Amino acid sequence: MNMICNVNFKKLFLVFTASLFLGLFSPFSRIYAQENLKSVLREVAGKIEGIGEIENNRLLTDEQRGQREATARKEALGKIFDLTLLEDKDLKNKLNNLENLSEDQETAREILLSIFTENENAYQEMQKRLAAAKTLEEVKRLAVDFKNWRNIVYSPKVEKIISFVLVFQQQKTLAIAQERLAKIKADLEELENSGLVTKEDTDNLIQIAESSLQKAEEINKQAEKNNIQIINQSLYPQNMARSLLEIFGFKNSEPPKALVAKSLGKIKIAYAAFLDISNLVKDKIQK
Amino acid sequence: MEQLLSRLKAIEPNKEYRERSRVLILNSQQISYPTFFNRILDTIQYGAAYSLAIIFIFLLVGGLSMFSRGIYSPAVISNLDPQTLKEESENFDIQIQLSQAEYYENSAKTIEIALNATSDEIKTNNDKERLDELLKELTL
Repeated sequence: MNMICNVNFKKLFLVFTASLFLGLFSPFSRIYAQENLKSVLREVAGKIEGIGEIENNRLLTDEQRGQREATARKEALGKIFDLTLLEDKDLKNKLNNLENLSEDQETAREILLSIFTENENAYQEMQKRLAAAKTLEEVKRLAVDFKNWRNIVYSPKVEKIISFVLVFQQQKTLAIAQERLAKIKADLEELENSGLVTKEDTDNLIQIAESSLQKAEEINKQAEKNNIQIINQSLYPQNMARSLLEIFGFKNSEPPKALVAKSLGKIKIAYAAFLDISNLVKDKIQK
Repeated sequence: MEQLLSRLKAIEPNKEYRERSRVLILNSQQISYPTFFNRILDTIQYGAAYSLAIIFIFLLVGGLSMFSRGIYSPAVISNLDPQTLKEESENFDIQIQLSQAEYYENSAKTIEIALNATSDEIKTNNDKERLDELLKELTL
């Protein structure tokens, strides 16, 4: 019995310690991941600078230049592959870290996560070609193919993932803002009961905050609709996409990211109104 | 001598004197020693009296309005505290995410320039400057 208790206690302790560790360090790990991406991107820029220096080096013979250039370009390409893999990992984490998704959102996440399996095949193919590339021309050809793949396949997928994460994260922000509004309204009611402020004093500002948050929610919903429409469009043929257009009422062609920024602007207006209420109450109390 | 003592023994106070003395004794103040509990009770009584007096004086000099204003000051109502509101609006997770989205836009442009330079497909003289510019714009 004692042994069972000990084992359970040890398990609980481990779970508690792990939760505490994750809770404390998850923001840092996210910042670290982003800093890591930034530093690899700088390394890519450094490699490109190196190619330019070899090209401009007049002391080298054509043969020497060709050999050094091939090595430098191969290294640069390798670094770009590394960065693309790191970005993939970061995006995958972003998707996996989303919690409390609705059924529709969960389906969309699964679709987006399947992108990474497709990417892996492309990376394996490109890595093989890079390892086998010996001549300058082979390296240059691979760089062109990789660029085309990034433009046609990779970048649009990244945009979809980022938009999905942004729209979802904004729903959390909206919940925080709505909660703040409810708390402020409760406080104002108390202040009105004590006779320190009147309803007329803050009514206008509360209306501004309420309508701004309502608008922010509407824009976020539109962004979500656009997102699902874009994700579905990439999966189904043209005629199917047309029917989805009817289902989701997709009218606004604005990109989801732009809509998220617009919605954030509305939330900021609500917070400006909250600050005005705070100053007004302060003035009333000090009078 | 024995006779004298026997006579003295027979002496008694008269009835009036006896009754008057009894009334006087019974009406005199009784000395009682306080118990521990009574002492505590006394202390509380004095304390309460002093506190009530202080509160009364405080209210007389306008403390009531000061008290109510103190309770409802914005610093006390954390929901209306300007610093809390400012911090909350500046630290929305969505802002961090938006800056990360900008990173991906920036990274796409940077890598395109880098791949152009690597492939030698589109050659420009100011690749380095453009790359430096993009790296400076990174907002992570």
